[in-house]
Amino acid sequence: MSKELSILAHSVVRNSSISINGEKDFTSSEQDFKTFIKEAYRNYDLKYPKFFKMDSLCKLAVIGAEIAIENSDLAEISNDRIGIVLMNRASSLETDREHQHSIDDRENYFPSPSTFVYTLANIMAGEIAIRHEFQGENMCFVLSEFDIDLMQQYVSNLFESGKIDACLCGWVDFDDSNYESVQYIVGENSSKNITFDVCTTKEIYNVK
Amino acid sequence: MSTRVFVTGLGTISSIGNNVEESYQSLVNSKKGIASMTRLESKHKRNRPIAEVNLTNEELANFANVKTLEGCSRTSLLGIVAAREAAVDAGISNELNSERIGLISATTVGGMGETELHYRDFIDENGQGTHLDYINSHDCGESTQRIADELGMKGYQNTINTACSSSANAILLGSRLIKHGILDKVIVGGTDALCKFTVNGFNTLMILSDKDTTPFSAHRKGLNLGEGAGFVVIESEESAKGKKIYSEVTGYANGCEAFHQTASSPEGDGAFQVMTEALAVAGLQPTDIDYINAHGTATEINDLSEGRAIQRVFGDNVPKVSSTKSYTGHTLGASGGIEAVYSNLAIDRKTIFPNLSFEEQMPELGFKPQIEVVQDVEVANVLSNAFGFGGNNSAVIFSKV
Amino acid sequence: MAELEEELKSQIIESLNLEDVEIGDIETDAPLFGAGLGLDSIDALELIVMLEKFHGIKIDDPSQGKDIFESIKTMAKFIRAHKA
Repeated sequence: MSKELSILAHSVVRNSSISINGEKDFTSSEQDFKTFIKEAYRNYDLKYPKFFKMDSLCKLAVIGAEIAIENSDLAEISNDRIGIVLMNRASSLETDREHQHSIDDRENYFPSPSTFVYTLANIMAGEIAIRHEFQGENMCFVLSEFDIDLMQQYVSNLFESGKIDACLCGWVDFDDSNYESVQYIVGENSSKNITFDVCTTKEIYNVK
Repeated sequence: MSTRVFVTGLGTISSIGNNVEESYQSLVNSKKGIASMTRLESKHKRNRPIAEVNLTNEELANFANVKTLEGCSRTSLLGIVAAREAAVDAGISNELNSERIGLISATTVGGMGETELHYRDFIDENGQGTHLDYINSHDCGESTQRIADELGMKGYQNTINTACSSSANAILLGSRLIKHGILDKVIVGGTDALCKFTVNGFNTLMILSDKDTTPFSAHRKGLNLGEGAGFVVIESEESAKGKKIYSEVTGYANGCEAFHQTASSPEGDGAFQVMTEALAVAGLQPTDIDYINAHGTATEINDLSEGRAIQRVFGDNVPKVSSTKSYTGHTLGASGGIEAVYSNLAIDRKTIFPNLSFEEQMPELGFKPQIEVVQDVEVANVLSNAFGFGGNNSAVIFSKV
Repeated sequence: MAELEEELKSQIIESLNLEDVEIGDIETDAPLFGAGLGLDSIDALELIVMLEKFHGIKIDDPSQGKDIFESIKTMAKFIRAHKA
């Protein structure tokens, strides 16, 4: 039995700007990611000091997720029925490099535990889960590009098998100064919302 | 559409054996693979025991009969060995190019074991040499592709990276693809080689023990890292007809604890959630479980969290519990796959494997792990736990058919 | 005398990425963990690294950290005792 699913809200974070449901909502003149994301944090008033301990990938993921979640109505859904399925290409490469660098020089050898804990792609899902207390199924795929068909199939499957009632999905990638986050909340069908399918996801992803 | 998923083939390589049979012999003879570092040139060589596969890369390549050696990482080599063994065991070697057969592998290290050695060399823009071949094999997906290429697989491929729950999640995904009729057979599991990146990283988290790991012991000091690969072949009911069947994948669950990036909650909420759900999916009661192959990393936090969760699920009837990481060390992304092989061996060979090196019972728990090998015992249902950083927790149940 | 305490506050802010926290916000006697700065287990490990990196003192047993890192005051006391 196929459930009718909708995209309740979506966010895109690219090129120092953030859009909600296709509309630009925040833009910074700062090209530097770290400065931009800090500005975004303040703009959206997250009030979450743990944010500053995160690596860049997780900061990107948390901001993108925050906006999609805030613009969806998930109040009726139990936390253990909300899943997270994310994908990216560079995994945790940025932080991997940082960790590698810290263990490279035997004379100046100070690996940092707070860096090492971020050397896994799925920590970004973990950080979102911790912030929003989502305890449903969570998955992270590392692929050469955003596989929208796989996402569609996988997430539909989770709904069909009765595992979840809502899902945060998306492509969150960070490598060097190149980053993008396209995240969306999928839920049961509502006439106000966009249908969750490959075409609409492609449209959301491809908007510049 | 098939509603049942069967395990028809096993393959593994680790510090306790280069194949399933050797591994089984080590398990029943309480022979662990944890020792001093030999292959890795690490700062921590002297005081961090480790569980290495007893083959050099050259020996592994010969053993794996690898066609293309350029840029082939140790992670890939281990994966090729184990995946091939599983395919041969399931009798599917001659049909691996079918679109109805998939490969889902899991790894956390990928080719980092090689790229970390050449980190400085790569910075030299004019550099030449065979080390450049390893650039392409750095990412996790590459090892899956290598395995597929070496085995001649052309169908569905995917790579899961959810830290230490990765290969268990590969089993979950593979099972679902079969249940939904998308594939008939899937080789699922994982592989990870030892490297300085992980040794140094885990050491800075201060969870590496300076002696052999002692899971579920009161004074446990953490884990020993290990390397290896473990794959099982799962098939649909139709596809498995007439074949030897090790078990049925009857239950599985995944969830996010949402507590901390790396630590699990003191009451074991995440573990409790997935064990309970896996039982529900399997339609089993806690009393139906004969053996728990625990995650059991011997960190202060995990064993307390998992131990408490086990007590919450099983109450006064905790079945036999052991952590085979006391043999193989913690093989990270491969652990769920290797432990799936051992869980199936437990059913098939009617054996429950012990928790080695156990010292003193944890005061917080009302049970201690199984410390003796038990043979000639009916093992109908095995629960295998795999918990990863990021709070990603999974549980899989294998049942005798 | 208070120089080491001030130095530690600055090092903690930097090592633990405590954004929006000024040196003046950290009381020398106040508990570092639990409420207040809201430090967690990873921060505790990071403090161990900080102790080695900036003060040359190596701690091998993480459980020692509980007493040493109770407050800025106890950290400073520990460092002085070690250097004496």
